Amino acid sequence: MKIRAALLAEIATMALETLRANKMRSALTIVGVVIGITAIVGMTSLVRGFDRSFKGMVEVLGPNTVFVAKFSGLSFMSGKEFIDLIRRPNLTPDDALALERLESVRYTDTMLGGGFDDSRERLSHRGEETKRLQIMGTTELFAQVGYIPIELGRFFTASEVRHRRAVVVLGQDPYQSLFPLIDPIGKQVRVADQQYTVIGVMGPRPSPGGFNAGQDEIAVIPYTRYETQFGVPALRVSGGPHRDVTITAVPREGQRARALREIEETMRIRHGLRLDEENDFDLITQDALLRIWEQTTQVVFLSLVVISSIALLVGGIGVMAIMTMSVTERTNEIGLRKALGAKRHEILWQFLVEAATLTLAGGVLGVLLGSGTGVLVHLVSGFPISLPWWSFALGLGFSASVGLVFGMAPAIRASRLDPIEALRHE
Amino acid sequence: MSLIEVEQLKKSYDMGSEEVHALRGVDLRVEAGEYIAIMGPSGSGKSTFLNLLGCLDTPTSGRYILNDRDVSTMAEDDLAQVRNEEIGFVFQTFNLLARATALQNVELPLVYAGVGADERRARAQTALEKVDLSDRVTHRPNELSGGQRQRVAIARALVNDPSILLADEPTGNLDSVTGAELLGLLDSLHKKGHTLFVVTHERDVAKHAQSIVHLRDGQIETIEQV
Repeated sequence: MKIRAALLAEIATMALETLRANKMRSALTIVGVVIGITAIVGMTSLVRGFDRSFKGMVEVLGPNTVFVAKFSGLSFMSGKEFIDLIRRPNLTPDDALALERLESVRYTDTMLGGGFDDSRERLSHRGEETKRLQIMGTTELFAQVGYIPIELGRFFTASEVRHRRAVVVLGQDPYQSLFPLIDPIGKQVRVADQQYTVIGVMGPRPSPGGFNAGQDEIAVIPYTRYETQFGVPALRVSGGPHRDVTITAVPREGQRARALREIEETMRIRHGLRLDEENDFDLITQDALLRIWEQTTQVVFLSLVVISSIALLVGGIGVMAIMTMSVTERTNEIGLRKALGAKRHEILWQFLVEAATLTLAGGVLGVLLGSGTGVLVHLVSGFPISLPWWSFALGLGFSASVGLVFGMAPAIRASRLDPIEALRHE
Repeated sequence: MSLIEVEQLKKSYDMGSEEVHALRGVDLRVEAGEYIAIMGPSGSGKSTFLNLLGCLDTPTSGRYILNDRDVSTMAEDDLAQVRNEEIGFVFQTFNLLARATALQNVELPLVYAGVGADERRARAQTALEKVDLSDRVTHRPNELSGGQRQRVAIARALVNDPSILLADEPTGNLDSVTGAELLGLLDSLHKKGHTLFVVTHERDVAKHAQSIVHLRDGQIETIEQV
């Protein structure tokens, strides 16, 4: 199937003119293709962007850190019922102390609040009030374990934790709203109904996606103090109060596997589990989170493929319909071209190129809309995006293929028309 | 060798149960530069004969030698090439591409001949000059009169420098004045040495030719010298 370059250029020009002549019809035809390609390019940019920043955030946690929680996203992912999860035994600060005694564990941190409850309170200073913030009770190791930089002042000490001191370390958000101009260290703030002394300010925290998810709307106090003021936060559910406690354990150098094993054993013993019973707590590690994330993104990508395939299929059927119509309408023209010397494959290519031009135009539009959507989302919400060149190539390649595949049947029909009959056709 | 040698040309169509014999053995020799009219009542085989002459179709039996080539048994794509190189068609309904300019319409046979863009443009321009339309090159068919359209069609038929020009009722869609002008143009093409076939049912049109082939029931009845 040799096709002359001159003819191909001619055909492409003709195809574009045909599209110009039938703007409305062409536009309607390619809607499906536009949607499909927009979905591919747009979603790819968002998912890829989110993927990158999520991985960055998880990596900040450190590859070795082990989180122990009553339940987490992990248990939801494995299909457990919420009602069963909430009935699991609560973790306690004592669990953390037990884990810290393990040889493989370097230190632990206990975090009260900051999770699944509504321990959100306002902070105020001299009449200025913040919005409701996440108040967390932790050990002195919170910042260290979470790799949170201290911007001003210091974090609280073990002694302050032991003595239930009323000291608070502010997140970026309350710091900026209460002390935009002055040094906050040593100042008094009220947390709910009690007075605290500000001793430090935490730097900005990483967040999934890098956009503001409220990760800086926090204030941290010693967990002993937290217990006194708020009690261990409890959520009344059937089966007893739910308490929100997360234990973070940092294993000793090179002892991660052992630490994981020992933490699990210790927790099982403390919860009195028999050998045949499964864990009633979650162990969360960086690679577990990443694994879950990979699964999630795979699901997203899969549904993306399905959605855009359907849209492209619809677009393809539209193209087939429109090209069939076009062949019928232009039967006389096909007859004329054949009379003037057009060979079968030249007619075939004319209609294939026309169909591909149509869908490629849809693809270009889809790429523009898709990346435009991504950029817009980025500008509006700060959501990170990624616009890899291969998603453009994929979009354009897919759209052109849709034209070639679905344009094939009408094009073959056109190429097989008998010139005499076609010329006679009005 | 004559330009055209037609021997015992037969064409029959299978119409379901019965076979229709459109052409029942036609013999004809035509020399280069002749001007021939084909007349006959409807059903006489005029159109079938013209289609065979124009290599749009192949005969059921018989031979058709065009310019030393036996085209009676050629495959579809080879016939397409012969049409492109040897034959210029002029249709009753002009058959111009509505979206294309006069120049683009005239260029079309050259596109299929694989001629490059520059040469195409130059040759189409020359062809339009021959039919006196050099000032209408950028006009589209709907901006042209019927006579001008048919002249564009003639320019298109001439642009490939074909051996024969086939005109099927070329004045059928034109008023008498424009029709007369067009016949004048065909006369001048004949004088310049082109070989012309004109199918018509009007005697006045046929009279412009050197000889008139009368067809009846798929056979040549007489060949009348004008």
